[in-house]
Amino acid sequence: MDPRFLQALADALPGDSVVRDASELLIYESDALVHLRNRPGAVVLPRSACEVQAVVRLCHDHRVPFVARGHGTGLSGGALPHPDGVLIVLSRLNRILDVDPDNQRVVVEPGVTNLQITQRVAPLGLYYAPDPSSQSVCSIGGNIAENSGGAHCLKYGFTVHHVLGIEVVLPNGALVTIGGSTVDTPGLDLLGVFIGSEGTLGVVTKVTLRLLRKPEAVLTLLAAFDSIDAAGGAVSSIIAHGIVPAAVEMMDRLTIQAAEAAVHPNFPDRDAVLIVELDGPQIEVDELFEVVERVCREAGAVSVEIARDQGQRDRIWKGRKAAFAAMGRVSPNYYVQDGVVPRTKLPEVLGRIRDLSVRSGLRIGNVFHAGDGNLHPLICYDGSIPGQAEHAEKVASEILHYCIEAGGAITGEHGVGADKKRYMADMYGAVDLDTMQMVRCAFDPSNICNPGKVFPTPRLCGEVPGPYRAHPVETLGLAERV
Amino acid sequence: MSVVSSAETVTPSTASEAAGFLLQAAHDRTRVTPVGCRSRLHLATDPSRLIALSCCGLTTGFAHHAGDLVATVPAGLSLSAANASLASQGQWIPLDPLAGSHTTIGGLVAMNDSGPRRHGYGSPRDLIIGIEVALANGTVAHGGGRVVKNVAGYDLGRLFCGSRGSLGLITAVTFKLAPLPRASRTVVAHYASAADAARAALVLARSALTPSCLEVVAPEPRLLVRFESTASSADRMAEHTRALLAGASRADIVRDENERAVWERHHATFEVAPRVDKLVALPMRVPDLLEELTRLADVTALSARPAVGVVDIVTNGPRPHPALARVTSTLEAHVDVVRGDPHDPLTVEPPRSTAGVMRAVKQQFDPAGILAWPWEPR
Repeated sequence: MDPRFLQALADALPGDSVVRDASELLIYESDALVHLRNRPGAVVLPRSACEVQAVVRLCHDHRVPFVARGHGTGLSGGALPHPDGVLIVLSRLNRILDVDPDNQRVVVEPGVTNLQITQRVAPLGLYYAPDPSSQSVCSIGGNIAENSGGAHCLKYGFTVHHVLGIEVVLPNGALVTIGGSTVDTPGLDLLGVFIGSEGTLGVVTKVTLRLLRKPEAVLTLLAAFDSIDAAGGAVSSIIAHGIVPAAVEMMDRLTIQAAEAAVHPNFPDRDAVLIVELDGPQIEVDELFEVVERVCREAGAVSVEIARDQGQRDRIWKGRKAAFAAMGRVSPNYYVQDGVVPRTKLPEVLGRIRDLSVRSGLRIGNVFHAGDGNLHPLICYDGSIPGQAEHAEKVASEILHYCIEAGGAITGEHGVGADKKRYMADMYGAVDLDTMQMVRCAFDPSNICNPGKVFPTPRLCGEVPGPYRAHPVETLGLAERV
Repeated sequence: MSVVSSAETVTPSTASEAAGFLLQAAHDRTRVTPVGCRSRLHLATDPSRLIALSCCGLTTGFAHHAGDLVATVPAGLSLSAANASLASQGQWIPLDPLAGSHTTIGGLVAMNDSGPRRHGYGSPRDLIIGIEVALANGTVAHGGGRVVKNVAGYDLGRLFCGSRGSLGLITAVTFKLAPLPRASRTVVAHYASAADAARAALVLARSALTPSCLEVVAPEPRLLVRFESTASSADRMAEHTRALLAGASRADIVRDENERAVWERHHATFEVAPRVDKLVALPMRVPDLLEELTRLADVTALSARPAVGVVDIVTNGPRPHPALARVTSTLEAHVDVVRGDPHDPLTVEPPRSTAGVMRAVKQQFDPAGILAWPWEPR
């Protein structure tokens, strides 16, 4: 990196906020998608929005790329550093600034973890609804970048439904507030487009979130089935009865075995287990829960366990939330995929994945949010066998194409990042991607904010991709290329 | 191009035709205002210099995926027509916009219009999962898709939701649906003032009850609490609510025809009003806001969702009361014109710094400046 830029960076921040030592930079080379690595040119650990602003201004003035990073738990390489750029690590911006229980608001810095918010407001009878599996370690800034969901997003929505306002350092160094503490702030919904933009439109320095009141009743059941299709049939039947559960999660035999080995949730050793949770007023939940239990039995459940207390409920969720990490108990290595299919296509796509497993010779575990069709196939491989990691990646890629062919999406919650940008053109048309680029160019015309992520071919704003083709505005003589 | 034209309104029948028209308009520097079937031309900057681009002809392509609880609806279909079709499978788009259920899907989303059910179900912004738009560069673009969970790419659906025709014409929208409730009950509680009703609403909002509507209405101050669930749950929650509303002078539970009449009467006030302003504030400020508003003589009706922090008001005459500026300033509220002249001095501009990004987005989508920009006081 340009020594003058590095000196300016060192001058702008306290001494312990700039990391340049090669050995210290090592730990920042990747996020949780560890097979994608870049050593950043420099790492900064600001303590305030002003320091973030100072760094971004310098980057803007020197045309140096920058990447924001929360706690590095992302699974798509969204926080993969740029080798010639600055990695802005936001873990020191970790204060809960204000809790307003009457208006059900909380103001936090981006480095606060998802779970810390709920822990802080729980004594007030409130909670923060999005609950990604990594909620104990992932940052709220990262949740905004990825529009994180979680097991309960079926009923309560995603991060975008719960963020009221953000303070952002734009790629030109301006500090702005998007949204606010009320709903419906004037103008275009920049908040809606910023959330889920994977750090490509600016760096969040403060967040105002909406809190929910804890439901009066929560009832959870664990139903075991002798086939995934039967469990899928139960899910369809629950929805057909007009019930929208708080969560519907499914695990197959391989992931059940893995979870059992890791955290001992005492799940039945069957082909599939279904976790269904209802919440709301006691009188409503009691009535609907009876329907859910009956539907599961009619769909062929071989056992139905109803959590009688919070301890039993915690045990069931521990088994589900540990599923990813638990795969290490049954396989030396595994590749976590994230794709979405319309719920009605689940049986068809799971059948194709089973066939693929046989054909590829690789075991594939399935754990998924059955209520919204979000699959997480876990492709097992042995990295010590030459070529098997690449083989697993190809298998994962094929599964994504199954999702696209079924009318689904290439990611439901992990993001596109650096990992899946090559699939964007399979899911969207060229016009769709060009239109998204228009948004990016409005925020970041210099293309320095997390460049090379999300979109398949990084290009300059105004640049026409591929062989020259005249823009319709040019054809009409409205504008000309200079 | 089979565009049906009149002197002021162009009604394309496909998204491509709409995009072609916009491209030509950009070439001709003709100002265009996207509209629904009940044109709100008064939203335009200068009605004499524009052509209305109506989404009314965009009526094909409706697709209901009942098993997935989603539907794609062409922009020209009315909300009531869409919901009539969805009801055959026991589902619906759970919105009740101020403009009425005859509003087009395109208009509904462009305005992000919502009514009392916003308390329980949210606004169009909360239900959009995919969008198709015709743009001023002559292209038709898509964002999102037909699955509820999808974080691939930028969220064009939310960018266009509430954009009021400033970026292009919305041609189709895919929604996350809800199951039709099996039963509905409404508690009608009478209060001495709208502010008292709002205070009661905020207390209820802290209870374990889950109403779909928690609406304060005036001039006859009442709190309407609606429960949409199974029959026995709705009955029991309504009874429980009535017991909680000790401060009300009277509280009745209405159902069936009587319940429909209560809500229809409420909606009718807002559907026909020439001017409707939306005031937005923190929930706990709503009672004070209502107290101030009810002192203004030309506020003839109001409807508030205290727990959301939204108050809709109907005022006499084309312009709101000058005192509204003092009221909103004192209570840190802001005004948004829902129906009427958007360019009056009370309209709040986005903060200057954010407005700069908004203008940059606008410049990208509409470089020739043919579409209106409604957030600028005259």
